[in-house]
Amino acid sequence: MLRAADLAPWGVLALAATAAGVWDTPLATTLGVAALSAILAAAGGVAWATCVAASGREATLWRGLAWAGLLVPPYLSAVGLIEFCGPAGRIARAVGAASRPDLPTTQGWVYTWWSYALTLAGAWLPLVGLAVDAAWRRLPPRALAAARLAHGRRGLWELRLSVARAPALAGALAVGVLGLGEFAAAQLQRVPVVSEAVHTAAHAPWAALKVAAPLLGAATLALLGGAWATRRPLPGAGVQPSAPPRSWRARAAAGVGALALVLYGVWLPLGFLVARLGSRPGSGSSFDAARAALAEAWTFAQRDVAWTLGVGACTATWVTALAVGVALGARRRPRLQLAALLPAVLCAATPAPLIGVAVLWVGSLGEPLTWLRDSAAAVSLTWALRFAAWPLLGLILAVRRLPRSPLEAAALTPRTPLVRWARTHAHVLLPALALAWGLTFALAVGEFEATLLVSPPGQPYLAVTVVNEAHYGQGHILVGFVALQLAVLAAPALLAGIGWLAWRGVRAAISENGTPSPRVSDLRH
Amino acid sequence: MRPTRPASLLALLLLVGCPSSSGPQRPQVVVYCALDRLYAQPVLERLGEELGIEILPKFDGEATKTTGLVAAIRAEAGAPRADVFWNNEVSQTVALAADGLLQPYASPSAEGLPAHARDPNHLWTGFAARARVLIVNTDLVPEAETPRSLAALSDPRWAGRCGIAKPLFGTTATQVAALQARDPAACRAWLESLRANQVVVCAGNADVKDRVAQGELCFGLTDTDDANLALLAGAPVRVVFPDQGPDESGTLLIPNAVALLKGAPHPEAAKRLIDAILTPELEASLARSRSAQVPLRAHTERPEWIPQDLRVTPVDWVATGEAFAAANEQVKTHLLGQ
Repeated sequence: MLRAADLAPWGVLALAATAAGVWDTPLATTLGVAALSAILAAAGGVAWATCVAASGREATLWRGLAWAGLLVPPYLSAVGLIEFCGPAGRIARAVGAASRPDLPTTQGWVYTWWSYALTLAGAWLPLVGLAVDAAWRRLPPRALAAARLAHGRRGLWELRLSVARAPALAGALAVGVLGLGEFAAAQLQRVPVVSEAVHTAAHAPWAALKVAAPLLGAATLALLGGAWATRRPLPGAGVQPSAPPRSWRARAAAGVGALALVLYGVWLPLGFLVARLGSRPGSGSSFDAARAALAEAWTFAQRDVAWTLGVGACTATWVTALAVGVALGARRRPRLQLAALLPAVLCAATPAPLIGVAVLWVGSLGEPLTWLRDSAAAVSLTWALRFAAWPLLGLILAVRRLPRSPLEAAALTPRTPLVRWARTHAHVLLPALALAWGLTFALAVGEFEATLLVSPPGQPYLAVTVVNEAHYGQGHILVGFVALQLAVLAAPALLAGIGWLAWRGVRAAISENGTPSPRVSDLRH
Repeated sequence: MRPTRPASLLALLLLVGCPSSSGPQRPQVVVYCALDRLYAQPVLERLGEELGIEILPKFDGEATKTTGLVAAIRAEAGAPRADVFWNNEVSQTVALAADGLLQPYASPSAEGLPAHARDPNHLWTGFAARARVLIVNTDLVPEAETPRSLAALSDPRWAGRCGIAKPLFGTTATQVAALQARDPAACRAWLESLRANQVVVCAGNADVKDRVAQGELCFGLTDTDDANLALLAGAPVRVVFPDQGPDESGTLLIPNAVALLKGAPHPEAAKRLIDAILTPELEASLARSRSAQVPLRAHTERPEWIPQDLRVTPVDWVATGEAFAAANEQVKTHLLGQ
C-alpha cells in the first residue's frame, strides 16, 4: 500500500508544478513541466496498466501500441497536437472558431506550459504503464486469490497498488528527468525552457553550465530515487496470473481506455500524417499524395536517413555491448554497479544541449581531439552520454535476475567461450538485450537537442530536419519527413521480425536433419 | 572466455553500423549555411557538381537562426573546420569580421553588386536580399484597413493581434540592430511600444507566417521568402511592403552575405565556391526559387510580386553589425523583459 512517506516526493513535485505558474521564468517552467509530466505520467501509466489488466488476449495489442508510442519522440506528438488542437487547427476550423474577426485572437491552450507537460506525459506514459504492467504480470495467482478472499475487490487493488508503487515511481521520475533535457517539443509549443537557454548560450560552455546547473541536482536525485525504487524485489518471477473471465463490456471499456491513453504517443502523430495527406492541395488520391510526399522527402533527406540509421544502429550496438559488459562484470558488486550508474545518471540528468556543448568544447581543444568533433563519433558519443543510463539500468536489473545454476551447468559444455556465452548469458538475456538496444536506438534517432549542435558538416540527421521543417511549416514535405522518421524508428523491429522468421526456417531445416544442441531453457527443466 | 572474440565481434558490429564514406576524392569545402536548408541544399548540390568539389554543409535550427552557426564559428576559432559562411543576413557577419574571424577575398564575381552591400575590406560580400514585409490575413483584415507601416505593430487597435519573430535571432534581430545603429533612442521606444501593445513574439519568421495564414494573428512582420510560401500555398494573405510613402523610411532589404573564414582548411576550393555563389546566374535562380530572393544587381529580374520601384531603407551594414550586441540587450530589456 502507499504510505504517507511515499507521497512526500509528489508533494515537492506538485509545489514545483505550482511554481511554474507563479514564477514565469525558464527555470521554474522547466521544473514545473518536469514535475507535472511526472505526476500525469504516473497517473496515466497506472490507468493504462489497469486497462490492460482488465483486458483479455487483446492486451498484447495494447502493449504493442504502447511500445510504439514510447518510441515516438514527443515533438511528433506536439506536431500532431498543433495540427488538431492549435488555435487555428482542424478542430477550431471545423467548429468555426478560427478566422473569425469578431473573436479576439488567442495563443491557445496548446501553447501553455501545462499543455507541454501533458505532451511529455502523454508521449512517455507508456514508460510507467509498461513497468507497472510488467510488475502486475509477475504477481502469483495465489497472492491475487488470497487478497481477493481476504478483502474482496478492495484487497485485490490494495495488493496491485502496493506492487505498482516502485515501478510507477521509478517510471514517473524517469519521465520527469527526460523532460528536463527536452526542448524540441517546447519550442514547437512555444514554452521557454532551460535547455533552450543553454542552446542559445552554446558558444560559452561555462555560461551554459551556469544556466543548467540548478537542474542537475534535482534531476540526479530524481533518477537515483527511481533507481532505488526499482531495487525493491517484486513478488514472484515470470508467473502469468490466471485472469478470471471478463465480460465483453468490461474488455471493451478497458480497450477504449488503453487506446485513449496512447493518444499522444500514437494517434496524434498518425493522425497528423493521415490528415495532411488527405488534404494535400492539387493532388489526386491519398495514395498519390502519400507517394508524392514520400518521394519528395526521400529525395531531399536520403542522406539524413542513412546517417541516422547508421549512427543510431552503431550507437545502440556499442552502448548495449558496454552496458551488458558492465552489468555482467559488476553482477555481484553493488558498489561497482553504483559507480557505473552514477556518471550515466548524471549525464542523463544533464540538459541535452549542455552535453553537445561539452562534446564540441572537447573536440575544439585541438589535435588529436578534432577527429572526435569532425566525425560521426561526436554524434554517437553524444547520444551515448544522453541515453546510456537506461540500457545500463535495465541490464543491471536483468542480470540480477539471471538464474545461476542453469548458467553454471551450461558453462560446462565443451564449446568455445563465445558459443558458450551466446548459448547461456546471451540467450537468457536476449529479451533484455533487445529492449536495451531498441530503446537506445529509438531515443538516439529521435534526439534533436544536442544533435543540432554536434552534427558535423555534411552529416544531416533526420530529427533535426523534422523539427526544423515543423518550424518552417512546410506542409506536405513535413509529412514525408515524419513518415521517414517513423519508418526509421520501425526499421529495426521490421528487420528483427524478418530475421526471426528466417531463423525459424533455418532451425526447422536443421531439426529435420539432426537434433539441435540443448539450450538454457531446456536445462531449466 | 578469451576477451578478443567479443571485442572482434563488437568491432565488426561497429563497422557494419557505420555508414560508409566515399573518401576524399574531390576537394572538400565546409560551408556553414544560415539560409534555409530547403533552398540552399539544391543550390549547393548543383554547385558542387559544376565545380567538382564536395560541399559539406552545416545548417542551423530555425528557432535560433544564424546565432547557432555564429556561436559555432566563435567556439571553433582555435581549430576552424568551416571554410565558407553563407549567412542569410549581414549584421552577424559584420560582427564576425570585427572579431577578426574572417579573411579578405575580393571575388571577381562580385562585379555589379552595389557598393553598400560589400565590405570595403573585402571581408564579406552581400547578394540576393530578402525584404522585411508585413503579411496580412485577408479574412481578418479588409483591404481598406490593411496596415501599411511598421508603426502598425504599435497601434493599440491591433493589440495582441500582430506578431514578430523573436528579435534575438535572424533577420528580425538584424532589423532591430539596423534601427539601433540609426537611432538607439528610437529603437528603445519602438521595442517598448511593441511590448505595451502585447505584440506576440513568435518562434521564427515562418511561425509568424503560419500564425497569420491560419488566422491566429491579423498580421505580422516576416521575410519575403516566408511570405512567398504562404502565397504559393494559396493562404488567405496579402503582402505589404511597409513604409513606401514619400516621407517614409522605406522597406528594409537584408542581403545574404558570403565570407571566407580565417584559417579555412580548404581556401582555394572555398574561393571557387564563393565565386560561384556570387554570380548573377545564382542571384537570378534564387529569385526564381520558392525563396523569392530580391536580386541586388539592377538588371537581374525580380520575382513578379515584388515591386520594381521598391523604396528601400538605406543601411550602414558595418554600423549595424557593430550595434548588434547592444540591440540584443535592448530587446532583452525592453521587449522580452529578461
